[in-house]
Amino acid sequence: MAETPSPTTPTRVTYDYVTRTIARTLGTPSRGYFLLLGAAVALLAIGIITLLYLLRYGLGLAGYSHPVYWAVFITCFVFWVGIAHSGTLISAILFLFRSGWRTAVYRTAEAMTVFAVMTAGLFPLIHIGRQWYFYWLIPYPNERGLWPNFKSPLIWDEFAIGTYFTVSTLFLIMGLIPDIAAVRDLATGWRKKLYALTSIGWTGSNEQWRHFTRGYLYLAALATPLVLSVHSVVSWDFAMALVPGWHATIFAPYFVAGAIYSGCGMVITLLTPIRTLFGLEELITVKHFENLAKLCLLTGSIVGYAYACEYFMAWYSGNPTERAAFWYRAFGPYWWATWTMIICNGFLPLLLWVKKIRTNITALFVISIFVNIGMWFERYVIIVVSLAGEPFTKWTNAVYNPTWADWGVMAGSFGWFFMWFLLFVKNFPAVSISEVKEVLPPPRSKASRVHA
Amino acid sequence: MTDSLDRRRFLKVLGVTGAGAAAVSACGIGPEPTERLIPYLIQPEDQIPGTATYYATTCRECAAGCGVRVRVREGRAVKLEGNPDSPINRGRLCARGQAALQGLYNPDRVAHPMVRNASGKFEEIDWDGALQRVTAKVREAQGKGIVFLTGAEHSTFGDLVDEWMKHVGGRRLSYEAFGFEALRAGNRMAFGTATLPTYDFANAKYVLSFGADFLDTWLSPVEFQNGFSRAHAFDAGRPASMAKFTYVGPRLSLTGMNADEWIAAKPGTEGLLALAMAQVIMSQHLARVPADASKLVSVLAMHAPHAVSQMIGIDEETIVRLAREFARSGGGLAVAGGMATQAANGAEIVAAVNILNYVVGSVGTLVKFGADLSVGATNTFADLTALTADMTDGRVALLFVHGTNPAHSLPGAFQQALGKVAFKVSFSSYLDETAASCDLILPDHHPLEQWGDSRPRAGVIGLQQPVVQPVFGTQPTGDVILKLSGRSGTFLDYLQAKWRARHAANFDQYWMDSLAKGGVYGEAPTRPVRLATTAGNFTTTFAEVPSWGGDGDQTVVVFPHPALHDGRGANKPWLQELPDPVSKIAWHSWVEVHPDTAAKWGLATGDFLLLQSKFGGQKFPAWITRSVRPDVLAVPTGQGHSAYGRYAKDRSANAFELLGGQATVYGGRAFIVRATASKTGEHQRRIATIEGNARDLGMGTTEVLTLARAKALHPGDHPFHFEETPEYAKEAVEWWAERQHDKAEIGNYKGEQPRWGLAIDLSKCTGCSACVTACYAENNIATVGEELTERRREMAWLRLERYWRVDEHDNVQGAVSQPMLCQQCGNAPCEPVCPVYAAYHTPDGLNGQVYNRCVGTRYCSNNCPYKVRYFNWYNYAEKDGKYEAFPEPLSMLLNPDVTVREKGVMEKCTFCVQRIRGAQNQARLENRNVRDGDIVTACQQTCPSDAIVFGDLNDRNSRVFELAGNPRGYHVLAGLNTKPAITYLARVVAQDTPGNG
Amino acid sequence: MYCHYSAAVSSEPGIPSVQTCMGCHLYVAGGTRGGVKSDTAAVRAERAQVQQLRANSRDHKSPEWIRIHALPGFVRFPHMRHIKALGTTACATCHGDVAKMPQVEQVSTLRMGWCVRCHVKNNVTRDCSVCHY
Repeated sequence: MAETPSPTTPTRVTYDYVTRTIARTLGTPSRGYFLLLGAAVALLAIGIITLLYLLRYGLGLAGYSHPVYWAVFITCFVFWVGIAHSGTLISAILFLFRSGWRTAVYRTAEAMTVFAVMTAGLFPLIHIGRQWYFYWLIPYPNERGLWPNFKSPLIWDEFAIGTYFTVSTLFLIMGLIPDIAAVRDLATGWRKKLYALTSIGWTGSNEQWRHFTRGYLYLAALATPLVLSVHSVVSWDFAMALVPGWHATIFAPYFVAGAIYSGCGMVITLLTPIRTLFGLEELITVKHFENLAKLCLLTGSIVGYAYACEYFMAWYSGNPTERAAFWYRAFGPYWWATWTMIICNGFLPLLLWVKKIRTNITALFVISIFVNIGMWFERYVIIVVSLAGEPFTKWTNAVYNPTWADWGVMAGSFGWFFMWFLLFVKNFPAVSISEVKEVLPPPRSKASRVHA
Repeated sequence: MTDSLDRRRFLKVLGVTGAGAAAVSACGIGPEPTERLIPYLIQPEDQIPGTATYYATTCRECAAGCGVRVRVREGRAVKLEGNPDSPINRGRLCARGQAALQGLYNPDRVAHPMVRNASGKFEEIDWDGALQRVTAKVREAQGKGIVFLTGAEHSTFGDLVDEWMKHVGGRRLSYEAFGFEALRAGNRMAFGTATLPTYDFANAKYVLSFGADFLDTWLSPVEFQNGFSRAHAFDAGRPASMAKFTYVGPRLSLTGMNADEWIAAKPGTEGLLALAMAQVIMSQHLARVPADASKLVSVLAMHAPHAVSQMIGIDEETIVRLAREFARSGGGLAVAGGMATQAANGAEIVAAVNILNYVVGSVGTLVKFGADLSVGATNTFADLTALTADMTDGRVALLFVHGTNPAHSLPGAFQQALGKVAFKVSFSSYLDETAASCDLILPDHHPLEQWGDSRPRAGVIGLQQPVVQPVFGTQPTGDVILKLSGRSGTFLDYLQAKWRARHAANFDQYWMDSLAKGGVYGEAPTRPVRLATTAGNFTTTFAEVPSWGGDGDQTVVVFPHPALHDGRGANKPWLQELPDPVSKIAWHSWVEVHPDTAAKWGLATGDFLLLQSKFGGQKFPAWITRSVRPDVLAVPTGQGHSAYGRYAKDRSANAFELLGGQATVYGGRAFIVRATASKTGEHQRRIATIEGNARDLGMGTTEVLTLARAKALHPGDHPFHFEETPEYAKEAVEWWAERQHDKAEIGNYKGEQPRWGLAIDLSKCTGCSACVTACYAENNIATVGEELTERRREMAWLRLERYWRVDEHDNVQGAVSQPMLCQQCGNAPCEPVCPVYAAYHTPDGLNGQVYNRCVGTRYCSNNCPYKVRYFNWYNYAEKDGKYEAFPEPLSMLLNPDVTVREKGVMEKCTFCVQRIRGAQNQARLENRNVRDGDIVTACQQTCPSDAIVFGDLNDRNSRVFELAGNPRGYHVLAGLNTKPAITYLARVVAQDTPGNG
Repeated sequence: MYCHYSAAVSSEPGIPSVQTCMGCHLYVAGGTRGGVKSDTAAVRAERAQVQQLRANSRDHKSPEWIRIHALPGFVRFPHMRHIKALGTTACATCHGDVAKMPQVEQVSTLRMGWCVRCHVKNNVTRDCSVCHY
């Protein structure tokens, strides 16, 4: 036939095939699935228990030591916010750019975004000294006539994260509607009820489609700026402070790039198992991975540039404190953390120039793991090391070591994230049926006969 | 007094009045519980709830006899402050004095008499029963040897003991672990008088110390520090400013690190140096030498610089130079003590230094005999060893111990000897080592609970009155002795009788005045002294460097801990958590090792070193420092108690274990021994230090000027001044400051707002750390314990940063101590980042910290370049919590005017805002404005060297305003444009030339 | 001001000592209404309490007052400044007309908003650190 096949999916993949494969992902779970879910819940339990200890006895259980007053908790916060970003990027920005390949992967990414934000949002609450007064951070009219300090970047955070969570959740749900409808027609039992409810009476009529596409476009447009704004705001938590190593104008773009970099890493980490677990090889092809890898390469290079830039400026500015701070960072007691971050984020992505590696899923999976580690350490270095070696009053310099409490809560956050994610992929189409079909050649009569 | 009340009532009343103290809630949620208020039966006329009453009394933490005023709130003593009327401490107080309160309210006090039962355990016994036992024991022991052992007790109480002992045919011995036998022997040798003079540091033009730590542990530290800082501080106005201070000694103590020059002579050769200098002065006629000194010429000739410089380890030029400086200053004061006088040849060293003073004519002008410091009247160490022998040989049947703890300072000999004594009675109020091995304990009142007096020197009698009701079921030993000797009346009657004998006329008036003033303060006439015939009789052994007892290859110096002293301070958490001014180590002991030695042994800070003298062995974690001679190891006393309560017991090692029990020729004790040092392989994970990374004088935080430079400064100069705000930022910053001010306008008081500020003169600050403890006491700061100190979680709002001054060869010359506290910035980084306005700017220019608004994001601390904000990681006030800081009854000394902070909130220096508000309230009642000097912060109040001045920077006539304009003034990290309210005045260091050239 | 003797000079009003109570209750037995003896339950209760008090002072026991006006924690209220500024009659603004209360009750919330409103009304300081330190 004359029409060109979709760029990413083989021609034998038909509408019918798509619906069935994706519907299959919702079938009765395998033992492997339950093992994963169990592990996630176990981690979460650890986190909850640790948290209870913290509430009862105080944050002293964590490793904090003067002057390192922010540590693993804030590191995790930034880490998870970062993870969230690529999701929106893929689902919204690439949508606006009409890049066809996103269709197969964006649902996973989008879901990841929502759950990552849900995770990130917990940390600011966990890390404050009197968790039970967290609501004082929220502007609400009260008897005391007191308001939060809108000058404080922490308040900006609150709004940034809040908005981000709302929009990306709406975006995810909206995209789901037609698919839910599709699986609804195949499902039976309680699931049918669930889908019937969540597909809010979607029939797929022209009118609905018209409204849907229009609405979806608007939401995408709404979500796009968030990708840039949210992490910029998060970066200002640091950039607005005068701590050498924090106080830098490059932070916003640097953080955003880093966020997307880590996000893509996480998407790869998630997609690889899902793909094999649910047999989506036909839909999520090497091409998709390669594109993600290219995205990694791009953002990774930006991050690498940012590192170089930071050190250059420290030297070039001639500011003794800046120099001291970065010297301490690279050759102080935390050199190992710093070099882990530089290698994982600065040099590792350069491998992706090689097409062989870019198209080798196993290699990508391994790399993606290191990307995650590297990005976690980036935040650790920025936060902990800058504080520990603050050059203004060297007298107070101290070396910080995390304790079981830090690791416990961190483990919990991973458990929390993966629990939601696993539940999601089992109960909702992890790949967008309707949008994948969009990029397929319309069925010919033969195929339609088969369809009938 | 508050006779109508018992202690339990106070605790209940506290519920009403101590809003601060009462507001200790687990997590601050839930409604206030219904409180039941217990009123007084009869209203104590001298107490107004909510306002403090002050009682004058005398500090008994050491023998110096400083006058104190006790702030009493609702019957609880909440703070000690120096008594301005006292000629000794002039209203100042040291850390140990401040901490006396923790002795009073110590949770480990012996609450009632205790007797050792058959099974060897202590069991409670009532007072009558206890007294009967003692009477019986006294009866049967008469003739078999009765001894009453006290501390330095030159007081009416001492007289009573003497009387009683005479009556029962016993004898009294007084013992101080760090006695002054050498000083007395040396004075006898040089001047034929065994009394101790007092030293007029204030008028000295050059201070030369041969190991005498007159700023921390020697004779009368507060008095001497006060005088010293007057002489040594730089004051452009004064002609003789400033007196150079040279320290001679094997290691830098708190005193030593304040020296302008450090002469690290070989230990034991200090005397040679003194003689050599005297020789130079006489041969070169550098001073108007008294005629009778001529008979020394021959002796001195033997000790000419070229002859002795080898032994001393100091080159000739230096000796000659020192001699010139010392003599030319026209007011040279040399003092010998501490390490130098605890050597085997200590007495002769003192004699030598006396001669040095004599030849420059300082004896009689700066060295004033006639004061007869009472510590000079205590028995010698030789007497104690004699007693120990008697005890061992069973010549002592009954032993009473009061106010001293020889079992700790003489672990081996005395402990065993105790076992040989038939019956031992301790009057200790704490279960210290000695008490623990006694048969009967009759706990004494704390000095703050009982009547008494002390005669620290001729002319001065400090009166001591009960300022609170007894906290426990103790009884004043004075009363007990009267009962035992079958005499009627209380100790108060006895005391008054004695005083009446001294001043019968119009006694009641005299008594009331003395009570109000805190004692009788007179000046003793200076007794002139001449060289004794023995002055020149130096033994030959004196000439060569003494070989210390033992055969080890290391010279180990055991020195008194500035805060814990001989160990008596070890049961007070304030003193335990107070970092040693030199090493900055808290809560445990250490051994000072020079880097070269450490390199030789492959030793790292924190590695344990086993010191083995022929008397005993102990292991200490190494602290590697350049402030000690390479061939010397130094160890502090104070730790290593086997009893003495929860804060002291089983903590680190007891340095006294290394020392022998034999008395030196002059009857003193040698605190320098030979020992072998070996690595144990163990390592203390983290030394409990507050020092981070202070290799260099902190960037733009600590400024030092040479004397020449300082003298060249004219009013209006700004050697440290530089554009705080770069041109391009000016507008923005002005705008910001404006906005901040507008904010502050909300809730303006009537009239112009003050801008509270502080001026700290680094030339005066010695680093003695009294301010730190005063701050703990005033502001209810929690002590966190060793584990958390290791993790750098100490809460000291005011910390002392110690920066070494090093020469071009990186050899330590001395140190600069800098008090670092909240700078109350005018343009504070902590304020804008707080999401809930817990940190905010007050109209009077403070950085407010509203504890109950704080949610604990800790952003303020991250953004504070001075790192002076501290976080409550746990609920330190939690009853029976793992880290409880104020276990009953320590909680009784909490200041009701200051909130006790709860878990999860940030805290910091408030400039004693409670005192500010108090003064403002008072002024308002009196329809006037707050005057300069109305408000005195706790740190300023206690500072023995008057280095801290608080006031209103907007008041053109205030002291602080004047100081802020001083050319030596600078702001820490001014470049950050934080506009601090604290102005530091740069430290001035006198180089080779003495003060007035 | 007779009972709460230190309210005008100190931040704490002070609780009357039993001695102080007896200053009046030595003579005042309670239970009269405008000089007219009456005999209601309330009056009898009143007499009983005075009796109780007298008994207390006889055998030197302190009665227990139940605290009605308790400020929230962490806040300081210098009584003398308020009396200085508003006069002794001002007690009633916060405590109500205690004289007319058969049983003392709390008339105002004593919560922060309540404090602040009054401070705003009188245009006096609203600086946090005046009450919170």
